[in-house]
Amino acid sequence: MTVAWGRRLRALLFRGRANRDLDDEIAAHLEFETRKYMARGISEPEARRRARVEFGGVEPAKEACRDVDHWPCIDALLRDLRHAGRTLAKTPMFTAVAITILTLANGSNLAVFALIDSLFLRPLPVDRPGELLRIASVDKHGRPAQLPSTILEPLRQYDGATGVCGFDSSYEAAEMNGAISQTGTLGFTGDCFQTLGIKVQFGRAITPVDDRFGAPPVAVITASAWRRAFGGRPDVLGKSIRLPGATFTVVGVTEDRFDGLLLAFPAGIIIPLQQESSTAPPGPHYAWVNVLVRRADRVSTKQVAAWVKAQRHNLLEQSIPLHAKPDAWRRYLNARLMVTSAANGVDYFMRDRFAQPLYAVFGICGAILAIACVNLANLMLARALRRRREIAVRLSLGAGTGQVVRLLTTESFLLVFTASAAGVLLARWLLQIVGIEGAMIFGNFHLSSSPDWRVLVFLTAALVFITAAFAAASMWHCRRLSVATALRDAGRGIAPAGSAQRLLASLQMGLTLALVVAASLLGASLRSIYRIDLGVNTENVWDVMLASRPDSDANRYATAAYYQELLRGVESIPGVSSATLCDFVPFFNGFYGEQPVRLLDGAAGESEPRAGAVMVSDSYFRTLGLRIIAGEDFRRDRVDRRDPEVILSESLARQFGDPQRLIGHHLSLGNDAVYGRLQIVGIASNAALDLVNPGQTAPLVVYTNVWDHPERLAWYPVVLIRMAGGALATAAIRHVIHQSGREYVERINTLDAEKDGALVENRVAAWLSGAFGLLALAMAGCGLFGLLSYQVSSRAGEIGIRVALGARRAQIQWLVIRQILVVVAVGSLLGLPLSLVAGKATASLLFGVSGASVAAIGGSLAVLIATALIAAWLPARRAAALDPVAALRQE
Amino acid sequence: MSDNRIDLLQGTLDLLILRTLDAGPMHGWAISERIQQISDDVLRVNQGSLYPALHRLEHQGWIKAKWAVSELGRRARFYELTAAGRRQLALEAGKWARMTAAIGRVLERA
Repeated sequence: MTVAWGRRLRALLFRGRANRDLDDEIAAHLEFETRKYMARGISEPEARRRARVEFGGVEPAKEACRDVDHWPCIDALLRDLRHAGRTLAKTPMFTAVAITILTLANGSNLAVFALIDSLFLRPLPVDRPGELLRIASVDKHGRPAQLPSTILEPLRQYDGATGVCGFDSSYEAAEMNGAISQTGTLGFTGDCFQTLGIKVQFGRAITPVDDRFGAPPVAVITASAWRRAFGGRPDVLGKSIRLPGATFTVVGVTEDRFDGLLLAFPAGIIIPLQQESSTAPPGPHYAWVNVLVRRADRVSTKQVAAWVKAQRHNLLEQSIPLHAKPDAWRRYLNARLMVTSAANGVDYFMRDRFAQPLYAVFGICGAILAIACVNLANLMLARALRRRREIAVRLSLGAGTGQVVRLLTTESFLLVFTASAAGVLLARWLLQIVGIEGAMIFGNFHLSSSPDWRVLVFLTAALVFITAAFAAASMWHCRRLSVATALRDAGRGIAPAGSAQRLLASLQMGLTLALVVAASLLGASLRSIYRIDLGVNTENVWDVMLASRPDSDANRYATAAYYQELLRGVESIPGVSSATLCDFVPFFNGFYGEQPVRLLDGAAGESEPRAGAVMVSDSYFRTLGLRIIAGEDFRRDRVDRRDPEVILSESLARQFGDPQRLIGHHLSLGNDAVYGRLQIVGIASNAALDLVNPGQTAPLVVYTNVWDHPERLAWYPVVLIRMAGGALATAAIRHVIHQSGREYVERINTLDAEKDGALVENRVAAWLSGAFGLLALAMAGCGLFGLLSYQVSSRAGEIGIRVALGARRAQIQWLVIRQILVVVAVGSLLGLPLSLVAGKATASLLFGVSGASVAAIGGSLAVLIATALIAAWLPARRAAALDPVAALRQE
Repeated sequence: MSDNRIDLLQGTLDLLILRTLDAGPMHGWAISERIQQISDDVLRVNQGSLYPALHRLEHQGWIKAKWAVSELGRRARFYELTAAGRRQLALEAGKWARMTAAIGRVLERA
């Protein structure tokens, strides 16, 4: 049987050659036969004739052979497709519009679904990911947060879990095979590989033996890192890789499918947790980890959650972090615990920030697709009406209804298939852009590019659904087609557009209205966010994020002198007007936690507010355009080592009374001894340094002085640079940093770009909905235009009679416009509740506008009516200009 | 030319083709000539059904085809029995023998 399949497939693929072979084979036969007769002395023409007579029908024989060689049904299908292609080519405008609209709608849907899939639906690339649960404490936003690794031990006593492990993650400069690159690194407890079921393709996994203090430092690298950094060479085992502070020996490479445990952030290197931190004091230590457990088959997630809830106190008590101070203990003991599914990986913020916008956009895309379908279905209806005659002829010549159905379905399929193929390309392109943008904003961000079965199912379902919808629309008019009436009516067009068409047009209007409302809400919201006065002048400011070079471990902590030298180098670059050092990138990462602020010196009192703490050097306020409203800025050249200094934000200072009076007073920040006694030297104007909560423009902030604690700059010192104008010479910056010796430039960006990055979800939602809103409007306009044009031409006779009987132009125009008004009115009625739903759905993304904004809905309605009138204008004019004589002659 | 020609019985063409090819590779025209020759012009192959039959047998894997130059110097498609075809031939020939014998007996004695 396989022989037959192979041959048939070949015959199908090389149809031309197979046909030529067959021709040749039979020609050979006829030639032999001719020669036979000629050998008997018959003249050639006569011999040839006899050979043909002897053979019988050549074409039927060939046909019979082809039936054997091919699949008859596929042959018929190809014939249908060719015919459909020809039919579509006859109406190139319709075809082009249909394919373009469908491609846009389909491509954007696919892209958004693929994004949702790769961010939120794809299971972790480990064994039976559905069994994995994350146990976490709950942070102040209600999100899961890390727990100390000390909690793993009491968790292991739980017999409802077959495995317990913890990991943390970092994104550090790693030197692999001589090249330094930022690489996602996971710190695994010794039982991670076993619990998660991650296999190595060669070498060995990390075991509990490795995860002990003093064990030789080893690392497993992921398959992708192995290919990228080591070119996939098998001699990687035993090679060294360097991370800041330590050198690790590669002992294994993971299986291909494993690319990390974090949502959208792939890992390259896996090291034992205990080997991880070179900054920790020597000796066994704990780390804050993401705790994962694999539940036993017999217990449900609910049961695990119930157990954790019941055991909460025990678990926390047995896991109080070593070295913790008493009030840190108490806080820890009050922690709430939560159990969530870890089937899709551990998520730090992606779901929080993007799930809602993405689902909102997905909804919009779905609406667009629905509008496109409705619109095209309407055009198809008009087209089907125009083809009534053709169809009627087909039926009268004996085509079965089935054949007509097949014909129309094939046409729809061809349209939808072409659009889907183009849509796939469009989606790939969109996802590429998302990947690049994501990497610009989040660094390690990576989208899995290979579509999985969900995306394929989605694509196929969309294809089948749309084809079916179109075919149904096309058939609507053929359903009770009586041959006689169709042949009689064709071209004369007594039938006006049916109620189905008008209903579809109204539905489209309604959906479009909702979409335009959503777009205008999101657009207004984005504008109002950008209009907020943040108290910071971000123009011409660049941020340069530094990271330790992996080979700079010899001198872990830099001194004030080192950074002052570095800053002087930066300031000497032409065009730099000021430069400062701080420990965060404004708008990129928010404040590191809030800490209680207590006034000392008896001035203490009533309030003990919690404030965000950031570390900045002198010139910070000048660089960002903040004002010092009392006291003075930090000074770089201060020689008298008094108490460490702080500057407070005005909002914080006002919590303690008059800002002026605070200068010279002392305060303590948090429970850290280093911050036990800090002197207030200045008060700075309010400034919002992140956009997590855009309404909060006067956050409480304590600015500590970098020069008092240079060792605390720890991982990512950031240089902020204000340019006098013009762009920053990035090569010069890199050179200065390189010359200084300890760090390299990880990332350079403008603060404006950071701001855009912080608003990425709002921006994406606003832009996308705006683009889709325009698309929907355009489609609605085209749809109405097509509908009315068709009506005018099909009612030409009727209009001619009216004109002949004395109807005035305005009356004829009214005849057309009236249609539009009905459609718009019904559409608005359908659209208003939809608009309110759209407003509600986007409410969480809105800032400064209400979801049920009258202005937005009224404006959108006006835009919609204007579009409808523009669409109606041309057909109405054409109807009015109709020459009654010409129109009636057609009768 | 002579009236004693008979059209082939349904289903026997396959058997005849297989048996003819048992002698060696042959192209379509040669097969039909040989059948006529050996049957002393009694059996006449309908040439219009010869080629579909050849293609069908090829699909079933009983014969295989390749292009070669014929004795007359023209390129032609030569067919050849496969191992499966040889087995099929034995099977079909046996069936045919049993059937003709049975029919013969009925005609004789009934």
